[in-house]
Parts: sequence; structure tokens; C-alpha cells
Amino acid sequence: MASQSQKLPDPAPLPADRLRSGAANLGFFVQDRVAPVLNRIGSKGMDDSSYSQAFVRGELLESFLWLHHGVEIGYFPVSLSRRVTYEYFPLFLKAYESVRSESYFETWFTVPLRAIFEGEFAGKQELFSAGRIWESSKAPAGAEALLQPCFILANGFVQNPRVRLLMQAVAMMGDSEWDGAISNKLEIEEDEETVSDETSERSMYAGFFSLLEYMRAFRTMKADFGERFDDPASQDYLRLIKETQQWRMNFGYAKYRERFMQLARIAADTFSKQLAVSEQAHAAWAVADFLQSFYDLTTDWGTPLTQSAGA
Amino acid sequence: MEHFPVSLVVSRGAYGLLAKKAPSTGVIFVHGFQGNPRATWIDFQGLVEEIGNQRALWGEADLFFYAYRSRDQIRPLAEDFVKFLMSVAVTKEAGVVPRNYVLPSSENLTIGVPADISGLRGTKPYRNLILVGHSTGGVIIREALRLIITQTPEVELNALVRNSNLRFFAPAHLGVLAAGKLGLAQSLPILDRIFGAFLRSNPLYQNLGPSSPTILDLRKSTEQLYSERKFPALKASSLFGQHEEIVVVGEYSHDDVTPTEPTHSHISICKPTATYLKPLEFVANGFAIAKIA
Repeated sequence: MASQSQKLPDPAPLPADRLRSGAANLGFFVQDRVAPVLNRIGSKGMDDSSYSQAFVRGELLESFLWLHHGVEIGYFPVSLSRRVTYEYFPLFLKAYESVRSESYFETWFTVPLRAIFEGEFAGKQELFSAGRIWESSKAPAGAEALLQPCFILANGFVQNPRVRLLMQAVAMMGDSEWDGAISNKLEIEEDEETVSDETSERSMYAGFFSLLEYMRAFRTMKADFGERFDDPASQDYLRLIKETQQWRMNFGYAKYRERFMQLARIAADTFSKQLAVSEQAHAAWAVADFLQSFYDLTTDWGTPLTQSAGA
Repeated sequence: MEHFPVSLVVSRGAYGLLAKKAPSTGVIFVHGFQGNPRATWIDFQGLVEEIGNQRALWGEADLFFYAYRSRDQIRPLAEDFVKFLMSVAVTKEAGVVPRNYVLPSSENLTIGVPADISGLRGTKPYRNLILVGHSTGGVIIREALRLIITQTPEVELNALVRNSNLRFFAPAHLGVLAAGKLGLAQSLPILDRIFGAFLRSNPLYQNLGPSSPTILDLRKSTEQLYSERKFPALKASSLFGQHEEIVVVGEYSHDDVTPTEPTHSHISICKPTATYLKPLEFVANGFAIAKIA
């Protein structure tokens, strides 16, 4: 593995068949990941100062990182990927300039990821050349089989409007706003994407359980990848993919962790009352057990391993 | 990789994995209650590329991960699925995949599936269709097939649809369990039990009790149709986990009977891993059966 500051040559040219499928992969990336974010930017523009637009800027930057990681292993063709980036570069730059001046920039993105932005968006390095840890010809053999399922799973999760509302509130709200929102079951800033025929309470639970489903699916996938791709290079790549998404669910920070645990407690209190009659006597135990299990899942996303679930 | 991903225009989250060579089989996956097509079928998408003895089989298949927005009744969900199913049966992916993305700066520059990949895939229709449902997904598939078969004159019935093979994971076709019958669920992890309680609060779930008209009518008419016409698409194979905690375990009278899977639950039954390949094999068995039919 090369050091992250070392400048590597451009990825090796791809064989024709990989180039063709790389173009198809890129088409999926644009339609499934970039276009929904662009649509969200659409009506309000990048200058809107609401916290929901700040969240969209994070989504846009995350999109660029996925593209970067895909180019690095030859999953996306480099020239066409550059062309797509040029198309939307002012938006990427605006998102970067806006987010980098905020206190949460360092919370959102790890040092290696920030180095990619700082190298390429400041013009110090060519697109898709910063922070690469392999030339594409030396990427782990299973890297594409690792990237594609992670990418597909993550896209489904982040496009769920209920999840977006929840994540946006956790990541962006001030304390008093959060307290008000949580006491109103997150009856907050709904938009045209939000399912309108649900109560805000039901929508909040649906968002929370979708988050839970994603965390469990990611853990299953991670364990499975541990069996199939157990070499250190693949594990490094998986860590990079995880860090790319972690800005919206960064349990390493107390604010995120406490808010998610608060949601978990509300959900557990509500639904433990609906367990089977024979279990009702153990409802309090069920809540504690649920919180501990949820807390354990959060350790994949930065929670310290030593803290108890009582937060 | 034997497949490339595509978005599907049906509903948010739906996607497909299309074969890079001429596909002989279309496989449509339909998720269940409050589910989504990405987490429900994890890690079908990764393992189909890697499992040695099945790789060739899956390499000739297009995989469609259908999505739908939750509603309170099965019929409208099934009506939407009929449109998707007929489109895939008749035109493969052509009717459900969006056009290539046009970059705003140039109408001549589109991003998407290159023409030479489309050329490799050819234009021949599928020879086999496999419909895979989890939980409510199984009910939606059965209701959709009932609608198609009862509303279409036999001579006009699409042969691919009529002969499609049904592979269900924990289908809700006999209804869902009432909360009071969940004693066995105590052996499940608490995350599954609380999640199960959340699912049971879903209006769709509450409309699918074992004695609900939807469940009783669907069973009665499907069994009657099968006794009269013997279409393969009316007969299903279903796989349940031993720790099923959401739906009633069982089959229609003419369905295949499959032993339950030890240690698996409603949620885990349809998720293959490197050490649990049964879901892949269970669907792959449908390839062979569809060819015989």
C-alpha cells in the first residue's frame, strides 16, 4: 500500500470490457446517487442557509467520495468520471467551501477524506489522484465485489425520506431545536418527498427502524466480507467506505450518540408495550436489552467500546 | 463481475442487476412489510457474482429488485406489480430502466449503458421468469398472478408469466400471527422482537390476519385455479425459518413443502452469506424447475 500523500500515476487504462461496464456503473451512480441530490439542491439552490441545505451539501460531498473510491479501483472509468465531475464542479466546490468553514467539517470527514477534498478541490492535485492507496491495477481482486453491494445498500438507505428527515435532525439541529422536535415526534420541515399520509410519529419510528435495518445489514455485510475478503487491503478499503458515510451517523461524537440513543429509547418504550402478553412482565428488561443491542451496533460507527448503553 | 447495476423507474429504491451477456432468465425480487429492496435481499447482489458452482447460472440472469410504497391493502400493490411484471415479461428491462442520463451541457453526451453492452445482451425475450417474494411480497406476487390469470383470456396469457416459478421466503400467504401467539419468539434477539412489534403496528399487517378476507379469498381462488389449470405460476415453494415470528408457517394445499431452516427468523431467512448459501440455492432451484416447465 502506498502512503496517502504519495502521488501515484493515473489509474492504468481499463480493458475494453471493463470500460464498457464501468460506463454502465457510472450511469447507475449518476442516476441513483447524484441526481437525487441535485434535485434536492434544485429548487432552493446552494445559497439557502437552512440546515436541510447544509445537509444536502454533505450529501454532495459524500457523492464525490464514492466516485473517487470507485475510480480508484477501476469500477468507474477515470476519463468519463472526470467529465461528470466537471459538469457539476461549481456545485461540488460550493459545497466544499461552505462545509469546510463550519465547525462540523472535521467531525464529518476523517483526515484521509479531508485530504482528498483539500488536494483536489484546491487545485493542488488532479482529480482522482489524491489519497489513492492503490493504482487500479493493484487494487484488491475483490474490491469491486465489495464496493458495489455497499454502494447499493447505502444508496437505498440515504434516499429513504423518513431516514433523511431523521438523520438531518440528528446531524444539524441545535440542542433546543432538537428537544422541541423530539417532543413533537420530529414533526419537522417535511418536504415533497415525505410520505404525507403518515403521522409524524409513525414516520419517525419508520425512519428509526430503517436506520436500525441499515446498521444490521451493514454488520451482516461486514461479517460476510470478513469471510470473503480477509486481506488487509480489502479491510482498509471497507473502512474507507464506512468512513465516507459516517458523517451522517457519527456515533463517535456524544451529540450524535445521545440523540440516537434517545430515539432508540422512545422506540423501545413504545413497542415493548406491544410484545406478546407473556413478555409484558419483562418490558423494562426488554427496553434495557434493546438499548444495549442497539448500542452494540453503533460501535461499527464510532461509538467507544467501553461505554454502557445508558446514555 | 457478471452484472452491472441499473436504476428502475417504478419506485424509489428499486434497482436491477443486468447480465453482461444475453440473459435467459429474469428474476424479480419483491420485499415485504416496511422493507426495502436493498437491505431485504442483502447479499444476493454480491454473492451471485462469486459462488463458483452457481455463477454461470446467475450470470445468465437479470435480477430486478422491485420496490413499492407501503399501502394498507394488497390489491393496489398487486395492480402496480402487474404492470411491472408484464413489462419485464414482454420487454425485459426496456420498459423499466430509465433512459441514459443526459448531461445538461451536451445533449450528445449521455451517461449510462453503452450500446455495445446492449448489443451483447441481444433482443431475445427471457426463456424463464422467477418471482421471489419475502413476507408480504409473496402475497403481492400471488395476488398479481391471480389478477392476470382471471382477467386475461387463456389464449392471450403471456406464456412466460403463466409458467413463472415462485420462490417465497417466509410468505404471509396464510396470514400473519396475532400478537398473542408469539410465545416462541422469546428465543429471538430483542432487536427482532421489538422490530416485530413495530411491524405489527403497520395497517397492512393488521389487514392480513389468518382469517382476513384478503388471505382467505386469495388462497381459495388460487387453489381452485390450480386445480382447473395447473399453471406453474400458481404453485409456490416456500422457505421458512424455525424461529418465524411474523407470519403463519405453511403452504397452499398444492404447493411444495420445504423443511424449515434451523436458527433462522423472518428477517434472516432471505439473507445469504458466505456461510449460509441456502437462499441462493433455493432461488437457483427455480432455474432448473422453470426450464423443465
